[in-house]
Amino acid sequence: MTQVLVDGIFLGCLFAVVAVGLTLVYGVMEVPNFAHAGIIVLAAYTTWSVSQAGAPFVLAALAGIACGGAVSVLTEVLAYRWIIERPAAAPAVALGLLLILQNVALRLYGGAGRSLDTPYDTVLLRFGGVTLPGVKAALIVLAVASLGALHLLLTRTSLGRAMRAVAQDREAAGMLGIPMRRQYMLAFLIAGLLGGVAAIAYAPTFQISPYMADEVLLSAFVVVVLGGLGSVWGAVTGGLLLGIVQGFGAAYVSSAYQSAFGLLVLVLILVLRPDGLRSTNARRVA
Amino acid sequence: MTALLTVDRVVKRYGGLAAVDGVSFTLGAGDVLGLIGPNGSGKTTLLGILAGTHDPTSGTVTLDGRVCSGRGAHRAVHAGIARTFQTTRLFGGWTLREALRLARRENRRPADVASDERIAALLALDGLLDRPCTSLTSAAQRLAMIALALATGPRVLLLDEPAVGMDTAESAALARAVRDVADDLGVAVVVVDHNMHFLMPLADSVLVMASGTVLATGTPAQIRADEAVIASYLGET
Ligand SMILES: Nc1ncnc2c1ncn2[C@@H]1O[C@H](COP(=O)(O)OP(=O)(O)O)[C@@H](O)[C@H]1O
Ligand SMILES: [Mg+2]
Repeated sequence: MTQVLVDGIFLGCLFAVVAVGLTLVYGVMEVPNFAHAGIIVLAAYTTWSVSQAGAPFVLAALAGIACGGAVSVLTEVLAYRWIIERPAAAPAVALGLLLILQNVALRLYGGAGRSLDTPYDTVLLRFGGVTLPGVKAALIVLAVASLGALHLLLTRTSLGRAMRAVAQDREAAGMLGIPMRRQYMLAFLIAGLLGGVAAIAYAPTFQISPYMADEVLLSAFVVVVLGGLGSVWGAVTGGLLLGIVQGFGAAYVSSAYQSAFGLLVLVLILVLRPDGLRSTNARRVA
Repeated sequence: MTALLTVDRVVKRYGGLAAVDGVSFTLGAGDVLGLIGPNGSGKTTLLGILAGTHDPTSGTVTLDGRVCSGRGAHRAVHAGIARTFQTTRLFGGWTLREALRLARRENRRPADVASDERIAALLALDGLLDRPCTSLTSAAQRLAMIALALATGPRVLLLDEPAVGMDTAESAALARAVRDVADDLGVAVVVVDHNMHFLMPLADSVLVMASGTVLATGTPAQIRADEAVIASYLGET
Protein backbone atom coordinates (compact mmCIF):
# COMPACT_ATOMS: atom_id res chain seq x y z
CA MET A 1 0.00 0.00 0.00
CA THR A 2 2.66 2.53 1.06
CA GLN A 3 4.88 1.13 -1.68
CA VAL A 4 2.17 1.85 -4.24
CA LEU A 5 1.78 5.36 -2.86
CA VAL A 6 5.53 6.01 -3.12
CA ASP A 7 5.57 4.75 -6.69
CA GLY A 8 2.61 6.98 -7.44
CA ILE A 9 4.44 9.97 -5.98
CA PHE A 10 7.44 9.18 -8.18
CA LEU A 11 5.22 9.16 -11.25
CA GLY A 12 3.44 12.27 -10.00
CA CYS A 13 6.69 14.21 -9.63
CA LEU A 14 7.60 13.35 -13.20
CA PHE A 15 4.21 14.47 -14.47
CA ALA A 16 4.42 17.66 -12.41
CA VAL A 17 7.83 18.70 -13.77
CA VAL A 18 6.76 18.11 -17.36
CA ALA A 19 3.31 19.65 -16.87
CA VAL A 20 4.67 22.80 -15.22
CA GLY A 21 6.83 23.41 -18.28
CA LEU A 22 3.78 23.02 -20.51
CA THR A 23 1.50 25.15 -18.38
CA LEU A 24 4.03 27.97 -18.06
CA VAL A 25 4.32 28.23 -21.83
CA TYR A 26 0.57 27.95 -22.20
CA GLY A 27 0.07 30.62 -19.54
CA VAL A 28 2.16 33.29 -21.23
CA MET A 29 1.79 32.38 -24.91
CA GLU A 30 -1.28 30.13 -25.15
CA VAL A 31 0.61 27.54 -27.12
CA PRO A 32 0.05 23.78 -26.58
CA ASN A 33 3.72 22.96 -26.73
CA PHE A 34 3.82 19.37 -28.02
CA ALA A 35 7.46 20.00 -28.99
CA HIS A 36 8.23 19.72 -25.27
CA ALA A 37 8.51 15.95 -25.74
CA GLY A 38 11.20 16.55 -28.37
CA ILE A 39 13.09 18.80 -25.94
CA ILE A 40 13.11 15.99 -23.37
CA VAL A 41 14.41 13.54 -25.98
CA LEU A 42 17.28 15.80 -27.09
CA ALA A 43 18.19 16.60 -23.49
CA ALA A 44 18.30 12.89 -22.66
CA TYR A 45 20.48 12.05 -25.68
CA THR A 46 22.81 14.95 -24.88
CA THR A 47 23.27 13.65 -21.35
CA TRP A 48 23.84 10.14 -22.69
CA SER A 49 26.43 11.20 -25.27
CA VAL A 50 28.35 13.47 -22.93
CA SER A 51 28.43 10.73 -20.37
CA GLN A 52 29.50 8.18 -23.05
CA ALA A 53 32.36 10.54 -23.90
CA GLY A 54 33.65 9.96 -20.40
CA ALA A 55 32.45 13.05 -18.58
CA PRO A 56 31.27 12.68 -14.99
CA PHE A 57 27.52 12.18 -14.65
CA VAL A 58 26.89 15.57 -13.02
CA LEU A 59 28.52 17.33 -15.96
CA ALA A 60 26.55 15.24 -18.44
CA ALA A 61 23.34 15.99 -16.58
CA LEU A 62 24.06 19.73 -16.61
CA ALA A 63 24.79 19.55 -20.34
CA GLY A 64 21.46 17.82 -20.87
CA ILE A 65 19.55 20.42 -18.88
CA ALA A 66 21.32 23.25 -20.70
CA CYS A 67 20.51 21.61 -24.04
CA GLY A 68 16.85 21.42 -23.02
CA GLY A 69 16.79 25.14 -22.22
CA ALA A 70 18.62 26.12 -25.40
CA VAL A 71 16.51 24.04 -27.79
CA SER A 72 13.31 25.22 -26.11
CA VAL A 73 14.30 28.88 -26.54
CA LEU A 74 15.17 28.12 -30.18
CA THR A 75 11.67 26.78 -30.84
CA GLU A 76 10.25 30.04 -29.48
CA VAL A 77 12.61 32.34 -31.37
CA LEU A 78 12.45 30.47 -34.68
CA ALA A 79 8.83 29.33 -34.71
CA TYR A 80 6.29 30.22 -32.02
CA ARG A 81 7.18 33.91 -31.98
CA TRP A 82 6.07 34.28 -35.57
CA ILE A 83 2.60 32.90 -35.07
CA ILE A 84 1.68 34.82 -31.92
CA GLU A 85 -0.99 36.72 -33.87
CA ARG A 86 -2.38 33.46 -35.29
CA PRO A 87 -3.13 31.22 -32.31
CA ALA A 88 -5.09 28.79 -34.48
CA ALA A 89 -1.81 27.78 -36.14
CA ALA A 90 -0.12 26.96 -32.84
CA PRO A 91 -1.09 23.25 -32.52
CA ALA A 92 0.06 22.49 -36.07
CA VAL A 93 3.35 24.33 -35.55
CA ALA A 94 3.85 22.53 -32.24
CA LEU A 95 3.31 19.11 -33.83
CA GLY A 96 5.63 20.03 -36.70
CA LEU A 97 8.34 21.04 -34.25
CA LEU A 98 7.90 17.78 -32.34
CA LEU A 99 8.42 15.79 -35.54
CA ILE A 100 11.49 17.86 -36.43
CA LEU A 101 13.08 17.40 -33.00
CA GLN A 102 12.34 13.67 -32.94
CA ASN A 103 13.81 13.25 -36.40
CA VAL A 104 16.91 15.19 -35.41
CA ALA A 105 17.32 12.70 -32.58
CA LEU A 106 16.74 9.81 -34.98
CA ARG A 107 19.34 11.13 -37.43
CA LEU A 108 21.94 11.80 -34.76
CA TYR A 109 21.50 8.75 -32.56
CA GLY A 110 19.53 6.17 -34.53
CA GLY A 111 16.39 4.41 -33.43
CA ALA A 112 17.93 1.92 -31.01
CA GLY A 113 17.13 2.42 -27.33
CA ARG A 114 20.00 3.61 -25.16
CA SER A 115 20.26 3.23 -21.47
CA LEU A 116 21.63 5.95 -19.27
CA ASP A 117 23.79 4.85 -16.38
CA THR A 118 23.89 6.96 -13.25
CA PRO A 119 26.09 6.81 -10.16
CA TYR A 120 22.99 6.03 -8.11
CA ASP A 121 21.82 3.11 -10.27
CA THR A 122 22.64 0.54 -7.67
CA VAL A 123 21.42 2.49 -4.66
CA LEU A 124 18.33 1.07 -3.06
CA LEU A 125 16.70 3.02 -0.27
CA ARG A 126 14.68 1.11 2.31
CA PHE A 127 12.48 2.55 4.97
CA GLY A 128 9.81 0.52 6.70
CA GLY A 129 8.55 -1.97 4.17
CA VAL A 130 9.10 0.43 1.31
CA THR A 131 11.95 0.24 -1.17
CA LEU A 132 12.88 3.08 -3.43
CA PRO A 133 15.52 2.74 -6.14
CA GLY A 134 18.09 5.54 -6.27
CA VAL A 135 16.95 6.71 -9.71
CA LYS A 136 13.42 7.24 -8.47
CA ALA A 137 14.55 8.96 -5.29
CA ALA A 138 16.75 11.24 -7.41
CA LEU A 139 13.79 12.17 -9.57
CA ILE A 140 11.71 13.12 -6.54
CA VAL A 141 14.54 15.22 -5.12
CA LEU A 142 15.19 16.94 -8.47
CA ALA A 143 11.49 17.63 -8.99
CA VAL A 144 11.03 19.16 -5.55
CA ALA A 145 14.20 21.25 -5.89
CA SER A 146 13.42 22.58 -9.37
CA LEU A 147 9.78 23.35 -8.61
CA GLY A 148 10.84 25.06 -5.39
CA ALA A 149 13.31 27.19 -7.34
CA LEU A 150 10.60 28.05 -9.83
CA HIS A 151 8.27 29.07 -7.02
CA LEU A 152 10.91 31.46 -5.66
CA LEU A 153 11.51 32.88 -9.13
CA LEU A 154 7.83 33.53 -9.75
CA THR A 155 7.12 35.10 -6.38
CA ARG A 156 10.35 36.83 -5.37
CA THR A 157 11.88 38.27 -8.53
CA SER A 158 10.63 41.00 -10.82
CA LEU A 159 11.15 38.78 -13.87
CA GLY A 160 8.91 36.20 -12.23
CA ARG A 161 6.30 38.73 -11.26
CA ALA A 162 6.36 40.07 -14.81
CA MET A 163 5.76 36.50 -15.96
CA ARG A 164 2.68 36.22 -13.76
CA ALA A 165 1.45 39.57 -15.01
CA VAL A 166 1.85 38.48 -18.64
CA ALA A 167 0.01 35.25 -17.91
CA GLN A 168 -2.89 37.15 -16.36
CA ASP A 169 -3.29 39.72 -19.09
CA ARG A 170 -0.80 40.13 -21.90
CA GLU A 171 -2.00 43.54 -23.06
CA ALA A 172 -2.26 44.99 -19.58
CA ALA A 173 1.25 43.71 -18.83
CA GLY A 174 2.51 45.38 -22.00
CA MET A 175 1.10 48.61 -20.67
CA LEU A 176 3.35 48.38 -17.64
CA GLY A 177 6.26 48.36 -20.05
CA ILE A 178 6.98 44.63 -19.84
CA PRO A 179 8.62 43.42 -23.08
CA MET A 180 6.61 40.40 -24.22
CA ARG A 181 9.44 38.78 -26.14
CA ARG A 182 11.67 38.71 -23.10
CA GLN A 183 8.91 36.98 -21.14
CA TYR A 184 8.17 34.48 -23.91
CA MET A 185 11.84 33.57 -24.07
CA LEU A 186 12.01 33.24 -20.32
CA ALA A 187 8.95 30.97 -20.23
CA PHE A 188 10.47 28.70 -22.89
CA LEU A 189 13.85 28.77 -21.17
CA ILE A 190 12.35 27.65 -17.86
CA ALA A 191 10.15 25.06 -19.58
CA GLY A 192 13.19 23.71 -21.44
CA LEU A 193 15.32 23.52 -18.28
CA LEU A 194 12.49 21.65 -16.55
CA GLY A 195 12.26 19.38 -19.60
CA GLY A 196 15.98 18.72 -19.18
CA VAL A 197 15.48 17.91 -15.51
CA ALA A 198 12.66 15.54 -16.45
CA ALA A 199 14.91 13.91 -19.05
CA ILE A 200 17.86 13.21 -16.79
CA ALA A 201 15.57 12.21 -13.95
CA TYR A 202 13.50 9.68 -15.78
CA ALA A 203 15.69 8.49 -18.65
CA PRO A 204 17.56 6.13 -16.27
CA THR A 205 14.27 4.47 -15.26
CA PHE A 206 13.17 3.89 -18.87
CA GLN A 207 15.15 3.89 -22.07
CA ILE A 208 16.30 6.74 -24.26
CA SER A 209 14.64 6.73 -27.66
CA PRO A 210 13.22 9.42 -29.96
CA TYR A 211 9.73 8.56 -28.73
CA MET A 212 10.51 8.13 -25.05
CA ALA A 213 8.50 11.17 -23.94
CA ASP A 214 5.32 10.70 -25.98
CA GLU A 215 3.34 8.99 -23.26
CA VAL A 216 4.61 11.28 -20.52
CA LEU A 217 3.62 14.25 -22.68
CA LEU A 218 0.11 12.88 -23.00
CA SER A 219 -0.19 12.41 -19.24
CA ALA A 220 1.29 15.85 -18.66
CA PHE A 221 -1.33 17.41 -20.92
CA VAL A 222 -4.00 15.60 -18.92
CA VAL A 223 -2.40 17.16 -15.84
CA VAL A 224 -2.35 20.63 -17.40
CA VAL A 225 -6.07 20.43 -18.12
CA LEU A 226 -6.72 18.89 -14.70
CA GLY A 227 -4.85 21.66 -12.94
CA GLY A 228 -6.39 24.44 -14.98
CA LEU A 229 -4.60 25.77 -18.05
CA GLY A 230 -1.75 28.03 -17.05
CA SER A 231 -1.84 27.30 -13.34
CA VAL A 232 1.53 26.22 -11.96
CA TRP A 233 0.22 24.96 -8.64
CA GLY A 234 -2.66 23.29 -10.43
CA ALA A 235 -0.06 21.44 -12.50
CA VAL A 236 1.83 20.35 -9.40
CA THR A 237 -1.22 19.09 -7.52
CA GLY A 238 -2.71 17.65 -10.70
CA GLY A 239 0.56 15.84 -11.44
CA LEU A 240 0.72 14.26 -8.03
CA LEU A 241 -2.96 13.29 -8.16
CA LEU A 242 -2.63 11.70 -11.56
CA GLY A 243 0.57 9.90 -10.61
CA ILE A 244 -1.01 8.42 -7.50
CA VAL A 245 -4.22 7.43 -9.29
CA GLN A 246 -2.26 5.77 -12.08
CA GLY A 247 -0.05 4.05 -9.51
CA PHE A 248 -3.01 2.61 -7.62
CA GLY A 249 -4.84 1.72 -10.82
CA ALA A 250 -1.83 -0.17 -12.11
CA ALA A 251 -1.29 -1.98 -8.81
CA TYR A 252 -4.85 -2.95 -7.96
CA VAL A 253 -6.63 -3.23 -11.28
CA SER A 254 -4.32 -3.70 -14.21
CA SER A 255 -1.19 -1.97 -15.39
CA ALA A 256 -2.43 -2.30 -18.96
CA TYR A 257 -5.02 0.37 -18.16
CA GLN A 258 -2.64 2.73 -16.35
CA SER A 259 -3.17 5.62 -18.76
CA ALA A 260 -6.90 4.98 -18.90
CA PHE A 261 -7.22 5.72 -15.17
CA GLY A 262 -5.70 9.11 -15.77
CA LEU A 263 -8.22 9.91 -18.46
CA LEU A 264 -11.00 8.70 -16.17
CA VAL A 265 -9.86 11.15 -13.49
CA LEU A 266 -9.73 13.87 -16.09
CA VAL A 267 -13.30 13.24 -17.19
CA LEU A 268 -14.51 13.13 -13.58
CA ILE A 269 -12.79 16.39 -12.64
CA LEU A 270 -13.95 18.15 -15.76
CA VAL A 271 -17.53 17.10 -15.06
CA LEU A 272 -17.30 18.30 -11.45
CA ARG A 273 -15.12 21.37 -12.07
CA PRO A 274 -15.18 22.37 -15.73
CA ASP A 275 -12.28 24.83 -15.38
CA GLY A 276 -9.93 22.37 -13.74
CA LEU A 277 -8.71 22.26 -10.15
CA ARG A 278 -7.20 25.71 -9.92
CA SER A 279 -8.18 27.70 -12.93
CA THR A 280 -9.38 31.17 -12.36
CA ASN A 281 -8.03 33.55 -14.91
CA ALA A 282 -6.62 35.66 -12.14
CA ARG A 283 -4.50 32.80 -10.81
CA ARG A 284 -2.72 31.81 -13.96
CA VAL A 285 0.94 31.07 -13.30
CA ALA A 286 0.42 31.86 -9.67
CA MET B 1 6.59 76.24 -27.84
CA THR B 2 6.94 73.00 -29.78
CA ALA B 3 4.45 70.25 -29.17
CA LEU B 4 5.21 67.32 -26.92
CA LEU B 5 3.13 64.88 -28.94
CA THR B 6 2.59 65.14 -32.68
CA VAL B 7 0.17 62.84 -34.45
CA ASP B 8 0.64 63.09 -38.19
CA ARG B 9 -1.91 61.74 -40.69
CA VAL B 10 -2.34 58.45 -38.89
CA VAL B 11 -4.29 55.74 -40.73
CA LYS B 12 -5.27 52.28 -39.52
CA ARG B 13 -7.01 49.91 -41.90
CA TYR B 14 -8.67 46.61 -41.05
CA GLY B 15 -9.20 45.00 -44.44
CA GLY B 16 -11.38 47.42 -46.36
CA LEU B 17 -12.35 49.43 -43.28
CA ALA B 18 -10.33 52.48 -42.26
CA ALA B 19 -10.91 52.51 -38.50
CA VAL B 20 -8.70 55.61 -38.28
CA ASP B 21 -8.44 57.60 -41.48
CA GLY B 22 -5.89 60.39 -41.47
CA VAL B 23 -5.96 61.90 -37.98
CA SER B 24 -3.53 64.68 -37.08
CA PHE B 25 -3.20 66.78 -33.93
CA THR B 26 -0.60 68.09 -31.52
CA LEU B 27 -0.55 68.22 -27.75
CA GLY B 28 1.61 70.14 -25.29
CA ALA B 29 2.76 69.14 -21.79
CA GLY B 30 0.02 69.59 -19.23
CA ASP B 31 -2.72 69.80 -21.87
CA VAL B 32 -5.90 67.76 -21.56
CA LEU B 33 -7.46 66.76 -24.87
CA GLY B 34 -10.99 65.37 -24.91
CA LEU B 35 -11.60 62.82 -27.65
CA ILE B 36 -15.23 62.24 -28.50
CA GLY B 37 -17.25 60.66 -31.26
CA PRO B 38 -19.95 58.04 -31.81
CA ASN B 39 -19.27 54.37 -31.09
CA GLY B 40 -17.13 52.85 -33.79
CA SER B 41 -15.65 56.20 -34.85
CA GLY B 42 -12.11 54.98 -34.14
CA LYS B 43 -11.28 56.48 -30.74
CA THR B 44 -10.02 53.27 -29.14
CA THR B 45 -8.10 52.34 -32.27
CA LEU B 46 -6.42 55.76 -32.27
CA LEU B 47 -5.39 55.32 -28.63
CA GLY B 48 -4.07 51.85 -29.51
CA ILE B 49 -1.83 53.37 -32.18
CA LEU B 50 -0.57 56.09 -29.84
CA ALA B 51 0.13 53.44 -27.20
CA GLY B 52 2.04 51.23 -29.63
CA THR B 53 -0.46 48.38 -29.33
CA HIS B 54 -1.37 48.69 -33.03
CA ASP B 55 0.98 49.57 -35.87
CA PRO B 56 -0.45 52.37 -37.98
CA THR B 57 -1.04 51.52 -41.64
CA SER B 58 0.52 54.90 -42.39
CA GLY B 59 1.36 58.10 -40.57
CA THR B 60 3.52 58.67 -37.50
CA VAL B 61 3.32 59.53 -33.83
CA THR B 62 6.21 61.65 -32.57
CA LEU B 63 7.02 62.26 -28.92
CA ASP B 64 9.49 65.08 -28.35
CA GLY B 65 10.71 64.86 -31.93
CA ARG B 66 11.18 61.08 -31.85
CA VAL B 67 8.97 58.72 -33.83
CA CYS B 68 7.47 56.25 -31.39
CA SER B 69 4.65 54.59 -33.33
CA GLY B 70 4.73 51.05 -34.68
CA ARG B 71 7.33 49.75 -32.23
CA GLY B 72 5.27 47.73 -29.81
CA ALA B 73 3.51 48.57 -26.57
CA HIS B 74 6.45 48.28 -24.19
CA ARG B 75 8.60 50.62 -26.28
CA ALA B 76 5.85 53.23 -26.33
CA VAL B 77 5.65 52.91 -22.54
CA HIS B 78 9.42 53.25 -22.23
CA ALA B 79 9.28 56.30 -24.51
CA GLY B 80 6.72 57.85 -22.15
CA ILE B 81 3.23 57.03 -23.44
CA ALA B 82 1.01 55.14 -20.99
CA ARG B 83 -2.62 54.15 -21.30
CA THR B 84 -5.59 52.68 -19.53
CA PHE B 85 -8.20 50.41 -21.07
CA GLN B 86 -11.88 50.83 -21.73
CA THR B 87 -12.52 47.81 -19.49
CA THR B 88 -10.90 47.50 -16.07
CA ARG B 89 -7.75 45.42 -16.37
CA LEU B 90 -5.76 44.94 -13.22
CA PHE B 91 -3.77 42.05 -11.85
CA GLY B 92 -6.17 39.89 -9.87
CA GLY B 93 -4.93 39.06 -6.41
CA TRP B 94 -2.13 41.63 -6.38
CA THR B 95 -2.13 44.70 -4.22
CA LEU B 96 -1.85 48.04 -5.95
CA ARG B 97 1.61 48.54 -4.45
CA GLU B 98 2.88 45.25 -5.91
CA ALA B 99 1.60 46.19 -9.35
CA LEU B 100 3.07 49.70 -9.06
CA ARG B 101 6.41 48.23 -8.13
CA LEU B 102 6.42 46.06 -11.23
CA ALA B 103 5.51 49.03 -13.43
CA ARG B 104 8.40 50.96 -11.89
CA ARG B 105 10.91 48.14 -12.30
CA GLU B 106 10.12 47.81 -15.98
CA ASN B 107 10.77 51.50 -16.58
CA ARG B 108 14.21 52.28 -15.29
CA ARG B 109 13.76 55.99 -15.35
CA PRO B 110 15.26 58.18 -12.65
CA ALA B 111 13.60 59.75 -9.67
CA ASP B 112 11.23 61.92 -11.70
CA VAL B 113 8.56 59.21 -11.40
CA ALA B 114 6.15 60.08 -8.62
CA SER B 115 6.27 57.89 -5.51
CA ASP B 116 3.51 55.39 -4.72
CA GLU B 117 2.21 57.74 -2.03
CA ARG B 118 2.22 60.74 -4.33
CA ILE B 119 0.36 58.83 -7.04
CA ALA B 120 -2.14 57.55 -4.49
CA ALA B 121 -2.68 61.07 -3.15
CA LEU B 122 -3.16 62.54 -6.63
CA LEU B 123 -5.81 59.92 -7.42
CA ALA B 124 -7.48 59.91 -4.01
CA LEU B 125 -6.41 56.31 -3.45
CA ASP B 126 -4.66 56.99 -0.15
CA GLY B 127 -4.81 54.06 2.21
CA LEU B 128 -5.72 51.60 -0.54
CA LEU B 129 -2.18 50.77 -1.69
CA ASP B 130 -1.90 47.56 0.28
CA ARG B 131 -5.30 46.09 -0.47
CA PRO B 132 -5.81 43.49 -3.20
CA CYS B 133 -6.98 45.26 -6.36
CA THR B 134 -10.05 43.04 -6.51
CA SER B 135 -11.28 44.34 -3.13
CA LEU B 136 -11.46 47.94 -4.38
CA THR B 137 -14.72 49.51 -5.54
CA SER B 138 -15.14 49.60 -9.28
CA ALA B 139 -14.48 53.36 -9.32
CA ALA B 140 -11.29 52.85 -7.30
CA GLN B 141 -10.25 50.11 -9.72
CA ARG B 142 -10.59 52.57 -12.61
CA LEU B 143 -8.34 54.98 -10.67
CA ALA B 144 -5.93 52.16 -9.86
CA MET B 145 -5.49 51.57 -13.58
CA ILE B 146 -4.49 55.22 -13.95
CA ALA B 147 -2.11 54.80 -11.00
CA LEU B 148 -0.36 51.93 -12.82
CA ALA B 149 -0.03 54.08 -15.92
CA LEU B 150 1.50 56.88 -13.84
CA ALA B 151 4.01 54.53 -12.22
CA THR B 152 5.61 54.03 -15.63
CA GLY B 153 6.56 57.72 -15.51
CA PRO B 154 4.63 58.83 -18.60
CA ARG B 155 4.72 62.17 -20.35
CA VAL B 156 1.54 61.35 -22.22
CA LEU B 157 -1.39 59.58 -20.58
CA LEU B 158 -4.19 58.02 -22.63
CA LEU B 159 -7.47 57.32 -20.83
CA ASP B 160 -10.12 55.25 -22.61
CA GLU B 161 -13.54 55.98 -21.12
CA PRO B 162 -12.21 56.32 -17.55
CA ALA B 163 -15.55 57.51 -16.13
CA VAL B 164 -17.48 54.48 -17.34
CA GLY B 165 -19.70 53.12 -14.56
CA MET B 166 -19.02 56.06 -12.24
CA ASP B 167 -21.71 58.15 -10.54
CA THR B 168 -21.62 61.95 -10.66
CA ALA B 169 -19.53 62.37 -7.52
CA GLU B 170 -17.04 59.73 -8.60
CA SER B 171 -16.62 61.19 -12.07
CA ALA B 172 -16.19 64.68 -10.61
CA ALA B 173 -13.43 63.32 -8.36
CA LEU B 174 -11.87 61.63 -11.38
CA ALA B 175 -11.95 64.91 -13.33
CA ARG B 176 -10.14 66.68 -10.48
CA ALA B 177 -7.57 63.90 -10.32
CA VAL B 178 -6.90 64.06 -14.06
CA ARG B 179 -6.55 67.84 -13.87
CA ASP B 180 -4.05 67.47 -11.02
CA VAL B 181 -2.05 64.89 -12.93
CA ALA B 182 -1.85 67.25 -15.91
CA ASP B 183 -0.99 70.31 -13.82
CA ASP B 184 1.26 68.85 -11.13
CA LEU B 185 3.13 66.25 -13.18
CA GLY B 186 3.03 68.15 -16.48
CA VAL B 187 1.60 65.10 -18.22
CA ALA B 188 -0.30 65.56 -21.48
CA VAL B 189 -3.61 63.69 -21.26
CA VAL B 190 -5.94 62.33 -23.94
CA VAL B 191 -9.34 61.39 -22.49
CA VAL B 192 -12.00 59.48 -24.39
CA ASP B 193 -15.45 59.66 -22.85
CA HIS B 194 -19.11 59.86 -23.74
CA ASN B 195 -20.07 61.71 -20.57
CA MET B 196 -20.05 65.39 -21.57
CA HIS B 197 -20.68 66.58 -18.01
CA PHE B 198 -17.42 64.90 -17.09
CA LEU B 199 -15.38 65.71 -20.18
CA MET B 200 -16.28 69.26 -21.20
CA PRO B 201 -15.25 71.04 -17.96
CA LEU B 202 -12.05 68.97 -17.82
CA ALA B 203 -10.73 69.33 -21.37
CA ASP B 204 -8.61 72.23 -22.60
CA SER B 205 -9.51 71.28 -26.15
CA VAL B 206 -11.75 68.72 -27.79
CA LEU B 207 -11.31 66.62 -30.89
CA VAL B 208 -14.40 65.05 -32.45
CA MET B 209 -14.03 61.91 -34.55
CA ALA B 210 -16.52 60.49 -37.01
CA SER B 211 -15.89 57.38 -39.13
CA GLY B 212 -12.18 57.51 -38.45
CA THR B 213 -11.67 61.14 -39.44
CA VAL B 214 -11.48 64.40 -37.51
CA LEU B 215 -14.88 66.06 -37.69
CA ALA B 216 -13.96 69.11 -35.60
CA THR B 217 -11.45 70.44 -33.10
CA GLY B 218 -11.72 73.38 -30.75
CA THR B 219 -12.30 74.51 -27.21
CA PRO B 220 -15.17 72.84 -25.36
CA ALA B 221 -17.27 75.98 -25.90
CA GLN B 222 -16.63 75.95 -29.65
CA ILE B 223 -17.44 72.26 -29.89
CA ARG B 224 -20.71 72.68 -28.00
CA ALA B 225 -21.74 75.33 -30.51
CA ASP B 226 -20.58 73.42 -33.61
CA GLU B 227 -23.57 72.45 -35.71
CA ALA B 228 -21.91 69.55 -37.48
CA VAL B 229 -20.93 68.06 -34.12
CA ILE B 230 -24.39 68.56 -32.70
CA ALA B 231 -25.91 66.90 -35.74
CA SER B 232 -23.59 63.92 -35.76
CA TYR B 233 -23.06 63.32 -32.10
CA LEU B 234 -24.05 65.64 -29.33
CA GLY B 235 -27.61 65.84 -30.64
CA GLU B 236 -28.09 62.12 -30.04
CA THR B 237 -27.24 62.19 -26.37
N1 LIG C 1 -9.15 44.46 -34.58
C1 LIG C 1 -10.10 44.95 -35.40
N2 LIG C 1 -10.42 44.31 -36.56
C2 LIG C 1 -11.37 44.80 -37.38
N3 LIG C 1 -12.05 45.92 -37.15
C3 LIG C 1 -11.80 46.61 -36.03
C4 LIG C 1 -10.81 46.16 -35.09
N4 LIG C 1 -10.77 47.04 -34.07
C5 LIG C 1 -11.67 47.99 -34.34
N5 LIG C 1 -12.29 47.73 -35.51
C6 LIG C 1 -13.33 48.56 -36.14
O1 LIG C 1 -12.84 49.87 -36.22
C7 LIG C 1 -13.88 50.80 -35.96
C8 LIG C 1 -13.47 51.72 -34.84
O2 LIG C 1 -13.52 51.02 -33.60
P1 LIG C 1 -13.08 51.67 -32.22
O3 LIG C 1 -11.74 52.28 -32.38
O4 LIG C 1 -13.24 50.65 -31.17
O5 LIG C 1 -14.17 52.80 -32.03
P2 LIG C 1 -14.59 53.60 -30.73
O6 LIG C 1 -13.60 53.36 -29.65
O7 LIG C 1 -14.63 55.01 -31.20
O8 LIG C 1 -15.95 53.11 -30.36
C9 LIG C 1 -15.13 50.00 -35.67
O9 LIG C 1 -15.90 49.94 -36.86
C10 LIG C 1 -14.59 48.65 -35.29
O10 LIG C 1 -15.52 47.67 -35.63
MG1 LIG D 1 -13.84 52.59 -27.68
